[in-house]
Amino acid sequence: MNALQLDNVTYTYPSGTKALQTISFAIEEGSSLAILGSNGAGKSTLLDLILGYKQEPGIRIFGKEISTYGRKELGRTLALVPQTEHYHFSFTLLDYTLFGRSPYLQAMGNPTADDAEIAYQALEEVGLASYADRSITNLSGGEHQLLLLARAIAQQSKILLLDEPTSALDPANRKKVLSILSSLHQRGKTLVFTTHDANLAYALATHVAMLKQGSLLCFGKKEEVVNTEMLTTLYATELTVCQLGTETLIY
Amino acid sequence: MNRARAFAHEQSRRRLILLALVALTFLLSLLFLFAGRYPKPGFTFSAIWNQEGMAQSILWKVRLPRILLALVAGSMLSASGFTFQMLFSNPLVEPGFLGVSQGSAFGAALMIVIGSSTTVMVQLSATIFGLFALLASYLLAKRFRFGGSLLRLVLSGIAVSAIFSSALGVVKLVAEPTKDLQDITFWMMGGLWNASWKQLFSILWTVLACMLLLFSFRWKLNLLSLEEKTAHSVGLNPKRDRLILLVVATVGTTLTISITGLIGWVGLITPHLARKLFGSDSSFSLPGSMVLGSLFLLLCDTLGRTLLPTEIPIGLLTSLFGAAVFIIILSLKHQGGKA
Amino acid sequence: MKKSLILLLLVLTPVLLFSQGNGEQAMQDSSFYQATDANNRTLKLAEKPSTVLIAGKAGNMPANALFLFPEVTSMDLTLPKTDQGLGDFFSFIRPELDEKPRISQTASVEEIASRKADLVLTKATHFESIARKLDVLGIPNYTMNLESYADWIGELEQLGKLLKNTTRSKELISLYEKRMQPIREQAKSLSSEQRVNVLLLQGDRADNTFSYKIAPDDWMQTWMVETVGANPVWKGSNKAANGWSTISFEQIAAWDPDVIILVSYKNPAQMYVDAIYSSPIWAQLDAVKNQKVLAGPHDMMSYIQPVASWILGLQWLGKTLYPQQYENMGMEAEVASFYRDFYQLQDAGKLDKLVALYAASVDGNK
Repeated sequence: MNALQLDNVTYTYPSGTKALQTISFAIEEGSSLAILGSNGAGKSTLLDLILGYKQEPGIRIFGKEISTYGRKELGRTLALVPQTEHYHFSFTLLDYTLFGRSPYLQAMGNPTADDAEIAYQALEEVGLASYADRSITNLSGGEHQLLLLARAIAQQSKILLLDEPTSALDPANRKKVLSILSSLHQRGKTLVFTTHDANLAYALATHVAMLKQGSLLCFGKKEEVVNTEMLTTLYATELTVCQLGTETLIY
Repeated sequence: MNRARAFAHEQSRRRLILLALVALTFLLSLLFLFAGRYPKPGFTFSAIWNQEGMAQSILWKVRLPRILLALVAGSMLSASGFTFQMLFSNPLVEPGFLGVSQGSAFGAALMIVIGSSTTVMVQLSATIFGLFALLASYLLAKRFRFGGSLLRLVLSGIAVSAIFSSALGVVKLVAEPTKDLQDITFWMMGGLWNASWKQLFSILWTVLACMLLLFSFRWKLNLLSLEEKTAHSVGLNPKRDRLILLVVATVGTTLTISITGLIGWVGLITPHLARKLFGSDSSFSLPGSMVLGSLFLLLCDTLGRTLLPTEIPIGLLTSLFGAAVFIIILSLKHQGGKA
Repeated sequence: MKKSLILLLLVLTPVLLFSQGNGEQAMQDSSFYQATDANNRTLKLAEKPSTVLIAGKAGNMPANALFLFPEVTSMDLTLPKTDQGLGDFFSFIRPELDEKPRISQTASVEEIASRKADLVLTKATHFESIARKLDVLGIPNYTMNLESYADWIGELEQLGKLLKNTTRSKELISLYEKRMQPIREQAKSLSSEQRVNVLLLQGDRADNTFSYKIAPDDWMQTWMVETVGANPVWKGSNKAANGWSTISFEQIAAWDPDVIILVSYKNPAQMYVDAIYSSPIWAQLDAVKNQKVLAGPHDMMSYIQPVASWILGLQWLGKTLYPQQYENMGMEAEVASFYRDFYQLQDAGKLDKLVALYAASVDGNK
């Protein structure tokens, strides 16, 4: 049974324009999928569909259609790290991370000490544990991203969805996030992330799906699919893939 | 492990503070039973309350229902103010800003003038117009092309409030003097001097139910203040929850206003105070603001009915003290513009 | 012979017993001070009310009615603070009232209760806000309307029952009737061309600007003008039934009344008359050109309002608008006789004072 499976998924905006056309692919548990494409290709929309935030048939998580999942059940299976988030109240970092424990709380209940422990561990993993009792209003942009990641980690889901996880980060934070995500992947988490950064895709993913103007250009293991020809078609620009020691570099 | 215990400890501490506030409110309520204008202004502790028939009447039929009304109204208005703030992701919102209070005051007055002044009809009218005002503010804000979403909401709220305030003025103008329409100051500034057991019970159960429902959402309110997608991703149903909470908060507010008139500032100021005391986590600051609301209104009303031979409209006192507290809060260490 | 005597006794006895029982019933009934108030409630007092409090706005109206009864001299009275600015009539009649602190017009229920009155009088408009709440506390209260002639007659009768002085109330009613009778007759005798177009205005001053208001259609002021046989030009224009409504000069010009009468409950009306006569805008009106802008009569209270002296206002209107019809009536004599008859004021000095105040109020009218 595949962790994520899409069968001929099509999505049309309420205004009538087609956003996605007959997307089909599948990945097993433990994979890391990069959804690659330039801006406006429909990557975020695809992620919304996988999240279940926009409803569309044809998407199966661990064999079950999304619409058959209960809310909390889905929350325990999928976690989202959004690209940005606006907040209006000065929660503490611990509070914020605890939000990720929502799918595990009693119907009208509050987080327990166990939930707190899990939240602390998540904060440790992203290196923010010492700031747990501080207000989120004092965080830098990079730290905020890390916090969103911590929340998703606290959610202890099998699949982690990320929307442009490093696009707004400086090189230091980018490296940090990359190493955290690699570590999560190695420990068995399934990752699905959107990006327009081909290098990130190659570094972090096992599989790549390329989206061009709402259609699936290609899908497969990264070694098979990420090559000069595909990338040039995707971005309509001359791109080269080359080896730099053990690393692969795309420019 | 240590920190999990620290967490549990912090939760217990907050619960304790909450309990202490509840106890304080209870004790003050008891104390203020003995304050008023009878037999003399101020406090009277004597055997008169046991012996004299008039004193007993005043205690049981006038003061007790009034104190209870202050507690219930204060709690409901705070809870609803808090909920609005979370749902609109904006610490500067209260039902009065969105026209709900003015709409319900208008609805109540209109029904009285039309002649159908049975309690049920008045409350129904207050609720319908309150909900209508909310809808109008929301839709109007969507139509505005000017400013950010916060600004649009506040602007349309001002417009809708103004319309209903004027409409209320017209109702008062054309009402016959023999029709028992309270002075317009009652509707616009509120007052608890109509409190009786009958009035109290006419709203008590529904308002308590509304408060209970809001209370049960105390944790989820945190998430509903964030983006909808985020709330969805952690297993909530944000569209449904928002609607339920909005309606419940509005109904509770409108029912209260149909008896007490418009009391402003309570829903704005006590949530802020509660957040200062309990942190921004709504699972504690919501109940906290409910208790603080009761306390606040109890204090204001006791002052309003004891200080002078005449009743001081309670809205006057809540805005006076509310504004003062607000200024103090704002001048204290600023947390980067967020509350 | 004996049989018919027995038969007679048999017939008479139950009759006698019946009437005896009736008499007892009547005696039992009359042991209560009992009347029906303006909200149709029946109030029963076991004893004569000796501590009386008048509560709520427009309290001077029920007070005014109460003072017509001699019982008032032996009452411990608490009056409301008055907002009529022409001086206080009540302390003029009973100076000792000045020593007793007045109660605020908007006093709370607890405050009223703390004065421990046997009876609280209030206007019917305060039924919900005052009367009902006093009921909850078991404080005897009684409402009055006093907004129309019918009100005054009916409610004086009831007040007489409440104070167990129906003789006095009958007397008062007949005194009113005696003064009303000629007025009604004069009014009926007028043809439609003879009817004068009158505009009655209440003057209001804010800073240095004056504004003018008209009364609602169903208020006594409008009724008074109609009753003397004049034509109230503003009737039908006051849509806000609640109270006096400000009107513009344009509207006044459009009506172009024959006579304009100014009243004020806060300042002497002459002030407004003078302002009108010195205004270049108003100079165009017929009433101004013909010197027919008049100050309404008042002593301590204006006569053109629903207080007991409304009858004087009516008489003055008649005399002023139709002088030929009222040749035999002299206003100053009427004022004096009013206070003698209605308020049983015998003190010559005080009577002179009242007459002098009246005379001064209308002195400016040509």
